[in-house]
Amino acid sequence: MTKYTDNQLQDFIRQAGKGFKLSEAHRSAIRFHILDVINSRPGRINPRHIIHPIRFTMPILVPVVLAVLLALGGGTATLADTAKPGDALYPMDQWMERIQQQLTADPNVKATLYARMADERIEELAELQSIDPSQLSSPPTQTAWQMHQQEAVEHLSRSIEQISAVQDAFRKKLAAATNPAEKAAFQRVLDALEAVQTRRENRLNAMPPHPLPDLPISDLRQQIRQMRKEHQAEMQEIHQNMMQEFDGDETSVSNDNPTSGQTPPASEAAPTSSDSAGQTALIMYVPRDENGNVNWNLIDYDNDGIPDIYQHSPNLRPRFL
Amino acid sequence: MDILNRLAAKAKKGDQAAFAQLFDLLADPIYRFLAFRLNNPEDAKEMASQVFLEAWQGLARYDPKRSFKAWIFSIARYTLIDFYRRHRAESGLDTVTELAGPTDIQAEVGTKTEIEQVLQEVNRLPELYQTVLKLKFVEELDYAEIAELTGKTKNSLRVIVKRGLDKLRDNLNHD
Repeated sequence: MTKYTDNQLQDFIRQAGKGFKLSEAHRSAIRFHILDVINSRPGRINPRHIIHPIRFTMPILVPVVLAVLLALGGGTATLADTAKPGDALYPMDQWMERIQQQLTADPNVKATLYARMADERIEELAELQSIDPSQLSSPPTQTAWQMHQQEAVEHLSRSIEQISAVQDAFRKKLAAATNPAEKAAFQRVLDALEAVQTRRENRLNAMPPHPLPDLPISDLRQQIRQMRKEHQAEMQEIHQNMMQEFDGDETSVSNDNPTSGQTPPASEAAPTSSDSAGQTALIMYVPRDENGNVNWNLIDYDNDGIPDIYQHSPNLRPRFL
Repeated sequence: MDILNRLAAKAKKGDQAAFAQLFDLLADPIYRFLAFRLNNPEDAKEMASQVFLEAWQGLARYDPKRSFKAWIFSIARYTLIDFYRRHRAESGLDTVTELAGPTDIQAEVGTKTEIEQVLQEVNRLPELYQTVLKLKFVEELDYAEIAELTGKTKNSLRVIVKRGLDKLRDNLNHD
């Protein structure tokens, strides 16, 4: 029977506690989730921020609209959130989104916000598209419906540009990132944004031919296709640069070289054992089609909404496949 | 005022970036505190997320003169208590907690068996004793901070630590 001293017991408790570690991937996922929830349900908004004259173009209207919101009850904000162009509450929905954008300074939060807003834009357009114009009773109603669709298309187009701008910003951050944890975090945001664009492109492609010839949905398809193409090309370049940079620093011998032009299939993504000991590296499995092109539609999402292209493993060097 | 309290004061005013920094600084300790007691890392992650969201929602009630660390650990503590209250009937986890994350612990220390036993025995102590021992020796909170979050005096806490270690020693020697 061992008679433990107080110091021994304290040390055991300390060591037991140290065994519980949150992985970088899980920490990023939790962080992303928390900021997403906070941003979608701010709950607490600092009144001093709301009336800040530089932050808002219409500071005098803010307390008035807040008073109206309060008078109508909290449910109004929820109703406004689901409004589409032409609905009475749609201007309020747009106004609330502008406020959220103004309040959001953190680029991570901003990325989440834009992703959510992008989904709303496509929903709005889809709802308007589902209306049969022959069921509209009068010419003025039909004209209004056309105008609202036009408005929805413009909003969607703006939203595509917003997402693209945020992607640009995060690509720069990724290119400048110096450690695997930072790279993983930025890559995750970029993947989430790319998933939004993919979802949106799929929805746009699924929309039936429209009776209005001047409604530029095909332009939107073209716009999003073009932006995604540019994004993927730039991401590939960043990954290649990162690999070259890493290979320059790496002293151990590598068996493969992703910059050589030959893309190994995902099935060959198994780590090698010749990597430097003690390093924790990020393995990114980028899905590719049979021609070796990156295909984001192949990303497998599990319940947590995070694409399954990451794997943290000890004793490995980073590989971008 | 330490960095946590300064960030908390900003977050209280609605600064989300400050809250994100608080998360970065406290995610590991909060997760560790929860995972120590729970037998499921997934539950610990989910609960950590819940603790931070509740902290955000409750920041209006937070007094910046008090320790933010103590405040958020008190949320974590009550979230755990609430969890066990709800799951007591189905899991019986109030009496025995299995070792969570054994692989990590094995990798971390050589004396696996003793550490496992201590972990199990700590989780068999009364809730207040467990909380105080973990906060004192794992999270290294001082008595003043633990007093804030438990409502006990510093002297009472010293007694609790002493009795907790004695009880732990007795239990280990009986096993």
